[in-house]
Amino acid sequence: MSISPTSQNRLAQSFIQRTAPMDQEALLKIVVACMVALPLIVFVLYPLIHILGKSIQTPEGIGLGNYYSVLGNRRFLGLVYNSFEVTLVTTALAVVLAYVFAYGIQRTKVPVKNLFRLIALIPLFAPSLVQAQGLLLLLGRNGLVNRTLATDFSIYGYWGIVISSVLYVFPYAFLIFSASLAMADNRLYESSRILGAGPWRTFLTVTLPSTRFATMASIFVVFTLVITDFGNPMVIGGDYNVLATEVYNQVIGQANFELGTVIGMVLLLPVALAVAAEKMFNRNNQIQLADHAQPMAIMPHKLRDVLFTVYTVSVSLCILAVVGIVIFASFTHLWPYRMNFSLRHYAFDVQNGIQPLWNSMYVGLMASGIGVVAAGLGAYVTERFKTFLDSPLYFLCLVPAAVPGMVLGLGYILAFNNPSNPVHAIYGSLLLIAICNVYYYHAQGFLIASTSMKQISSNYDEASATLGGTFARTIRKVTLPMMWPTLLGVAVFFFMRSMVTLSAVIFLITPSSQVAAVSVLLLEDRGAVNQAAAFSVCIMGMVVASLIIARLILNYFGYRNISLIR
Amino acid sequence: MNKLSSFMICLAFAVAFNMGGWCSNTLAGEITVYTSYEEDEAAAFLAAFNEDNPDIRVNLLRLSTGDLHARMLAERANPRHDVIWGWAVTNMVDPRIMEMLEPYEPKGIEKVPARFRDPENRWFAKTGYMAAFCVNNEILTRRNLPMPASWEDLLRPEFKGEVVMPNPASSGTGYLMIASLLQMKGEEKGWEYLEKLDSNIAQYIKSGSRPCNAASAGEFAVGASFALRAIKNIEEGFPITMIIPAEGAGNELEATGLMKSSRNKEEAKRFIDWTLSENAVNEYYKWKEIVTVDGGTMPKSFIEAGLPKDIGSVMVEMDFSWSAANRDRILEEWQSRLER
Amino acid sequence: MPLDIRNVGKSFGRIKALDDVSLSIGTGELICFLGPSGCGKTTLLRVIAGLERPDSGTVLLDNQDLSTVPARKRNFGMVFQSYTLFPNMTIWANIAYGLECRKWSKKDTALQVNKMLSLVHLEDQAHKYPHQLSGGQQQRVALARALAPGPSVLLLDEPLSALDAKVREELREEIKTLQQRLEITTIMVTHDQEEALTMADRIMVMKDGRVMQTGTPMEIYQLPENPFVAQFIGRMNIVPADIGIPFSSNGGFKGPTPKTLGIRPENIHLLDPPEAEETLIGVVDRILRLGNVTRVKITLKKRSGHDPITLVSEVQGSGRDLHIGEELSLVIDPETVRVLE
Repeated sequence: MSISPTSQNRLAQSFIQRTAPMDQEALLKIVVACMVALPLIVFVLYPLIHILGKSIQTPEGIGLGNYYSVLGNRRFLGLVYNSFEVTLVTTALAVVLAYVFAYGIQRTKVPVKNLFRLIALIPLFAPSLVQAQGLLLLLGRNGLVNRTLATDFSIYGYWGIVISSVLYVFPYAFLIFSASLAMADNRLYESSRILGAGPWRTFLTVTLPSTRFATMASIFVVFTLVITDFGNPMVIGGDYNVLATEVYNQVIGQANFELGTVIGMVLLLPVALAVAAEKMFNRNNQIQLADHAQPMAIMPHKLRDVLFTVYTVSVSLCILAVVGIVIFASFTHLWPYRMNFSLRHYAFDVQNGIQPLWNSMYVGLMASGIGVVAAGLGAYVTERFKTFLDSPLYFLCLVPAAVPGMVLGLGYILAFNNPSNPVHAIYGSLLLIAICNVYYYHAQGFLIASTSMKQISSNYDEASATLGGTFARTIRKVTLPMMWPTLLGVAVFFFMRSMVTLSAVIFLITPSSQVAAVSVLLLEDRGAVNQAAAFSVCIMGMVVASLIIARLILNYFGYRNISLIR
Repeated sequence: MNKLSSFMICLAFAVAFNMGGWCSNTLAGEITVYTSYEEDEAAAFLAAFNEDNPDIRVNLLRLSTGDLHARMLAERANPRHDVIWGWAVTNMVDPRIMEMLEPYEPKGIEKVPARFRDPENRWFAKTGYMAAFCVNNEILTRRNLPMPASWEDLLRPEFKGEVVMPNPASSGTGYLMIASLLQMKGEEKGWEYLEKLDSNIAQYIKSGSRPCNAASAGEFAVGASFALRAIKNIEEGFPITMIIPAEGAGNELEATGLMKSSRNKEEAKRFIDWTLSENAVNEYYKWKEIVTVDGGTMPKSFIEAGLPKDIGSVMVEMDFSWSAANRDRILEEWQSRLER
Repeated sequence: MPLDIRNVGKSFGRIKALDDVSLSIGTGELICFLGPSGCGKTTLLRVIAGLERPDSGTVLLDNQDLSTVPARKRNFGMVFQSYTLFPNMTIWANIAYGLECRKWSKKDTALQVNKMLSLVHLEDQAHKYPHQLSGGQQQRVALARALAPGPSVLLLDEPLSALDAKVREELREEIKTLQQRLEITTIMVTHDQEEALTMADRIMVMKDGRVMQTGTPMEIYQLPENPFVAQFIGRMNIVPADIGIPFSSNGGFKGPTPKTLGIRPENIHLLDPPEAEETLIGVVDRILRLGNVTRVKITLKKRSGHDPITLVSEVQGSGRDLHIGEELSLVIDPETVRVLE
C-alpha cells in the first residue's frame, strides 16, 4: 500500500503537533533536573572524586593499601565505637529537644514566639569559638557553675561533646521540625477531637505521623553533622577521640592526606546507608496534608501553654547562657580575674580590621542567593518532577552532609586549583567561597526546603496544568508565590551559616578574600582569645542587624505576616 | 511581590558587580607569601618590609602550621605562592614540600649558623619558638602546690590531674615536646618518663596553644605550651608564670624558602633577602624568643616574663631531621602506649 | 465530545492500579466511577486528565489519541476533592486563571468570569480569598474555575466528599443541573453509591483496577453481574445455588451450572406459619426496625451437608407481629433471583 506524499506529510505534521508539547514539557523537566544536578556534580562529586583518588594513592601505586592499614587497625574500631556512642546519643537528645521546642512554637500559645525562634537559631550564626568558649566559661573546671557552687566537676570528655554537639545541631533540627509543624490540616485535629481523642492520643495518631518525614530528615541531618564534626570534640572532648578528630590528626596534624581521606571516605558510608534508608522509608509516604489544609486554630489550653512556655524559656536560657556569658566576658577587662567593664577587646588590631565583616556579608548574601536557587530547585525537582533522575538527584543533594568541611575544602583545591578547569576562573574569589558554603550546607538547606514543600500539595501544580497553565506559568504564578516564605527561610539559613563557617573555607581564602570567621581564627591563634570573642560578638550583631533590616524591608513592602525564620 | 522582586534583583546585581574586583591576579611587583607567623607578628614584620620596599606588594596568607601544610600539599599541582616564610622546619623537611623549593642563597646567609639551614640552601631558619610551661599562680596558691621548675617536677603526685599538654598527633608543638624529651633522655628513658608523666596528665589537648590558654583561664594548674603564648598571656593580664623547663626547652625553628614555581622570582628573592636584613632582624628580636641571627635586643616584657637573656643556654639542641624522619614511628608508639 | 478509554493499564510498583480498562462515554453523558478506595477510579481519572501516564492503552477524545497531549493541552476541566483553589489568588483570579492561560482578552475574561460567578451564585464573593469561604462555596468556585474555559470534558474527583451532608445534597443537585444545562461530558469519581445512583447517567463499578460492571443505575442495581457489584450497590443476600431457592434458569446467566445466587432483601417475603414442605423455613434471629421498613435476619433450618445459612429480608411496615425465635416460611419469586456465578 502506498501513501501519497501529502498524506505522509500530514501524518508527520500531526505527529509533530501531538508529540511536541509533551516532549517539550518532559524535556524541560529533564533540563531543569540537570541544571540542579550539574553544579552538584561539579561542586560536590568532582572534588570528592579527587579525594577518593588521594585515598587510593599508596607508595606502591594505586591500591587499597591505605584502607587495609586504617580499617585493620585496632584503634580504628575504638574510634568507630566512640563516634557512634556520641552521635547516637546526641541525635536522640537533639531530635527530641528540638521537636518539643518546635511544637511549642508552632502548636501552642507560647508568647513572644519570634524571639524564641531567633534564640533557637543563635548557634547557627554564633562562630564556633563562641560556643566552645561559652561552655568552658560556664561549665569548665574554673567555670561559673563550679565556682559559684564550689563543686569540682569536669565537662571534658564524652558528656562535654554530647552537650556541645546538642547545642550545635539544635537549630538544624528545630528548623526542619518547625517547617513541618507550621502547616497542618485543621480538620484532622478537629475530627480527632470530636472522636474524643485526648491531646496525647491526637499527638500520637495525627501529629507524629504527619511529621514522619521531618523526623527522618532531622535525624539524618543531626547524625551526619555530629559524626563529621571535629570542632566540638577537639575543644571539649579532652582525650575522647572520634573518627572526625582522627581525620584532623591525619590531615592537619601529620599532613597525611592518604590516611585522612580514607576515614573521610569511610564517613560517607553511614550517610549512604542513611540516604538509602530514608529513601526506602519515604517511598510509601503519602503526602500527609491535604492541599486546602486550613491554618491551625490553636485553642488556648492553660496547663499545656504554661508547660510549653516553661520549656521554651528553659531551653532558650541554656542557649542564651552560653552565648551571653561570652558577650558579657568580652566587655570585662579580663574574665574571670578583673571583672570591671572595658571595651579594650573591641579595639581590633587584626589584619584588615573589620573589612572581613563586609566580605562576609557579601559571601553571606551571595550564598543565600545561590543557596535558595540550588536547594530550593533541588527540593522542587525531587519532590515534584517524577523523572527517572529523582533518586540519583536526591542522593546527590544529600551527599554533602557526609563530607567533613576540611575534606571538602581540600577537595576544592585538588579539583579547581588547575588552570585548565573552567572553575579556576573564580578560584580564590569570594564567589567560590560562597559556592563552597552553599554546597557544604546543601543537604541541610535542601531538607528544610523539602520539608516545607511536602506541606504544599502537588495538586496545585496539577490544577494549574488542567487549567492549561504551562510549566513556567505554574512556577511563576502558583508555586513561587506559595513557596517564597519557605525559600526566604532557606536563604536566611544559608546567610547565617556563611557568616561563620570555617572548616572548608580555610582552604579557599586568599590574602585578598579574607572573611570574618577567619579573623576570629587569626585572633584566637595568636592568643587574643578575648578579642576573638569580641569579634565574634560583632559578627553575631551583624547577623541580627541584617535580620532586622530584612524585616523592615518586608514590612515596608507589606509582608508583615511573613516570618524570616520559620 | 513585584516591587519586592525588583528590589531583590537590584540587590543581586549589586552583589554580582562587587564580585568582579575580587578575582585575584598576581601582578608584577606583587608576591604571595604563606606564613605561620602569628598574625600580629606577621603584620609587624610586613610593615617593616613595606617601609624598606615600598614598590613590592606582599599578599600574606597566615594559617597555622598544620593547616598550611595540608593546603600546600593540596595545591602542589599549581602552587599559589612565591615564598614560604616562617614555617616549622619539621614540616619543611617533608620531602613533598622540599621538592617544591628552589635552592637560593640570600644575601647575608652567612649570618645564619649552618645548623639552622639546609645544606642545599633550600631553606634557612632565622627564628624559632620553644616549649614552656604556663603555670597558674592562683591555682597554685589555692591548692597549695609548689611552683614546678622542670619536667621532672611535673611527676610529683600533687600535680595529678592538673597538667595538660598538647596531643602530639594533632599538634606540632606536642610533637616537638615528645621528640625533645626522647632526644634528651634517649628513647628508652624518654618513654619511661612519658609513661610516668601520663598518670598526672589531665588531658592531651588537640592544639599547641590551648594548654596555655587553659592554664590561664584557671582550668588546670600547668599547661605545657610554648614560650611566646605564655608571654602574651602574661601581657594580657592573666595571673600565670612562664617556666622554661630546667632540663632544657624543646624547640622548633621557623624556616623560609623560595618556591620553584614562583612567577615573580625577582621580587620573591628581594623579599627573602630582606628577611635577613638588619631591620628585619631587629624586628624579630622584638617578637620572637629565638632568633638565630645575632643583633637586636630582647624586649623587656620577655625578660620580665622570665626568659633568660642567653637563650642558647636553655635550648635543647634539636635534631630536626631525626624528628621528621621518625615522626610516624614515634606517633604510632605514642598512640599505642599513651593515647587514651 | 465522546471519550473512549481503550485497554488502559497502569501499575505502581507491584500494585496494579488499572488492569485493562475500557469504556466509551457519549457526549453530554455524566458517568460515575464507583468503587471502594484503592480500586483505581481516581487513577483512571488522572490518566484521562493527563496527570498520569498509562503503561498501556489509550484515551481518545473524538477519535483523537490523547497519549501525547499533555494535561494542559487537553482542555479538560478538573475539580479536586480538596478544592485546590490557589490560596494566593482571589476568587476572581482563580476563575480567570484558565482564561489567562489561554490568552483571553481582558474584556472577554471579565465577561466570562462574571458569567461563571453568577452560574455558581457567588457574584458577591469575587474579591475574597479562598480561605474566607465555606467549604461548599470553595467547591463551587472550583467548579466555576474548571468550567470557565469551556472544557470539552469535566472531571470531578470526589467533589463532594469533603462537605457535610446538607451542603453535599444541595451541590449534588446544582452540579447535575449545571451539567445538563451545559451538556458537557462529565466523569465523576465517587465511593458513595447514593451519589452515583442519583446523579449518574451510567455507572462504572470498579474493584482492584478492574471494571466489574458498567450500566445505568437501574441496571447496576437490579441486574448485578457478580457478587461484588451486588453487595457494593445496595444490600443483597449471596447464597449457594444448591440450597433449594428457586430461580428462573434464564436470569441472564449463560455459564454452565449456576453456583451463586443473589436475592435482594425486599424480594424475600415472610409467611406465617410454615406451609408446604417445599418452602424454605427459617428462624428469626434479629429484628431491626427502621421506621417504614423492618429488617429481619433469618437463619435457614439446617439441612444435612450444609452450613447454616443466614438471609436478610426487608418487609414494609413496622413488623410488629415478628418475634425472635419464631419459625417462618420464606417465599421468593424466582424472577427476582439473580444468578451471579
